[in-house]
Amino acid sequence: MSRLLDLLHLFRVEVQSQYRDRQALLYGVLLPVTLYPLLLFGLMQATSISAGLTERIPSRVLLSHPPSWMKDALSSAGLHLETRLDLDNAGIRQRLHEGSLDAAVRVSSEEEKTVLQITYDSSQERSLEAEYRIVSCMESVRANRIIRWLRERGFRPEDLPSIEEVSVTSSRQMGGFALSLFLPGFLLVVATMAVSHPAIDVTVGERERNTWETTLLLPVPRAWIVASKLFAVVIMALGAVALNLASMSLSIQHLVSVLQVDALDVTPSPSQVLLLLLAAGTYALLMGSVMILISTRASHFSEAQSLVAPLYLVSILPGFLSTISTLHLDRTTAWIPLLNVSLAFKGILSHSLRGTPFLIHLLLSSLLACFFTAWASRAVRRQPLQEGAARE
Amino acid sequence: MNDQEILIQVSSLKKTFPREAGNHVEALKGITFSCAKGEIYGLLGPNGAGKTTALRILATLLRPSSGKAVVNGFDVMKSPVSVRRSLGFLSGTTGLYPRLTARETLEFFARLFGMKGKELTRRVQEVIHGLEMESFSHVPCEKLSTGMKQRVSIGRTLIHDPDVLILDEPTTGLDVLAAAGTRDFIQSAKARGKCVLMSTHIMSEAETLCDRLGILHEGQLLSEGSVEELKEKTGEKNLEDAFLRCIRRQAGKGIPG
Repeated sequence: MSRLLDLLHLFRVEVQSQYRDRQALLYGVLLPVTLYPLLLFGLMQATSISAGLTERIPSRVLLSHPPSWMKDALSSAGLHLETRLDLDNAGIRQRLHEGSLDAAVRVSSEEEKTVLQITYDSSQERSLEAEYRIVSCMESVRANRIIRWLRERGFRPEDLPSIEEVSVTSSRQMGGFALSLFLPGFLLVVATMAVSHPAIDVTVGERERNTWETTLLLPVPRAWIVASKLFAVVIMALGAVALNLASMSLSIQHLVSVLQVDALDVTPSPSQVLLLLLAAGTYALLMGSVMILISTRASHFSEAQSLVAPLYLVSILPGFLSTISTLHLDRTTAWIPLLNVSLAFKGILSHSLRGTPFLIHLLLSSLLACFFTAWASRAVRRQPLQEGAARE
Repeated sequence: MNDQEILIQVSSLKKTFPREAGNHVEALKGITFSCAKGEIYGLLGPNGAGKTTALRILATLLRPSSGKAVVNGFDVMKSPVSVRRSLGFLSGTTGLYPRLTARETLEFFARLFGMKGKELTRRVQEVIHGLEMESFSHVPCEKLSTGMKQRVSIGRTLIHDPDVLILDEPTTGLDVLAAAGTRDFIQSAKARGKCVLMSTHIMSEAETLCDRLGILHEGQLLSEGSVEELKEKTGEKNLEDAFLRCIRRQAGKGIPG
């Protein structure tokens, strides 16, 4: 009992110390709270500015043998028209590349059929916009002509069979599905980043602050010291993940309401949040133990940062893999570390999580974390030996 | 000095550090000494003599390669946690947690040394008062001056009122006032019957503070005794000359022919 209390005291001081670190507060609290609203605001502003700018772009279109109805339609759509009869492909290409022309339309008739050939440069935004405007305008003309043709022959377009689509997916399920496409990878990256700073700070950071030996003098087993540090790292990571999740959910909800997409409900339920935090917690436990182990080998903060950097890449890959639609958390994938976490996130978000694979994933991550913690404790026991050698 | 009073007993202690290419460095070559209750024992030696290694083994920060070290009846290898409970260790490498205040630091250590409730509050207050830390006990350690930090470190060492104090070059890097304060603390510890083992390379400090001295050089304890005994053994008039004579005598042994 007293040993557990010791662990609690150590843990409390580690957490207290972490939350007084400006850098930890920046990455763990301030950034998650402000990042998403700012990103959303920036994105909406950029989209609206970009749309406004695109609208103002004039489209310069070269026409060859255009019928009068086409000239009228394109002209009324706001396109700047230039009519030429002597039009050759090489000349058009040159002008498109030079930027003095955005698109060219050649009209030809084959067996009583009128063909419009649009030439444009798909690598140029202006040219793409011109092509889009021409196609939209011509589609509209064609639709009006079809309707008129039908009416002339006594048909009412309203009588044609209409198509109705019925999806059995609820807006909540649809929202979950949408989130499961990108959120697992995102959560893994957030959790990895949230783990790395405290994991390095509680090990190499202590050595740099000259408090490592003070900690080793505490009248507790070395494993207790490492375990308390790991738990503090997990708490920091969980706090950051929870804040990221909350801030991002609110931002996405706002975006969905602005865009008026009723088919999407992106609010995670309380049980989903709890399961996500549980999975994130075990991931932080595993990643934290690995990072602490790696950091015990480093002599400086920057060296530890370089050593743990590959883990960022390792954490990105399962996120990508989880976007494969046929890949789910099952009794096989649950045994693959890191991928199982990503798939667990996906299962939780898309409401398709199964109990046994989830438990296997939790158990495996926890066991691996215990293994790496024991290894780190061993490294800590050996650590002063090297320091002593250096000093004497 | 009888056996009951001995709180630190070091016998044939050896420490070898591995180096590159399979080489080894012998930091301690089988040293033996003891320190009793109410005594200040000083390990005197130049840099690299093995003083820090010896003290770190006693504080369970290092494992000995062979030999035996017992602190307050506990073997450093068999009962490291009990050893750490019995002693207070102070050195230049035992820094303070910068994000905790002086009071929080003392409370943290007091809790881990088993104190709680009123006993904890009373003891922390006692140490703060005793070391005149009232004015800065609420300030984070990172914002304290060197002298203030040294007082907090001493408080941290004394919080559980250990019977054994191990001090590794306790005045190195301190200004005149802080060094004087540290020397006062060592003398008051002796007066309260504590067993104090310290390392130093400052002759005047060793002469003023230590009851007995062990001259350590290249991992070997060359000579041992009170200042007067060392002078007598070497035939020198002051400690510095006695120390140098011991070192040179040892160096002479190493010269072939």
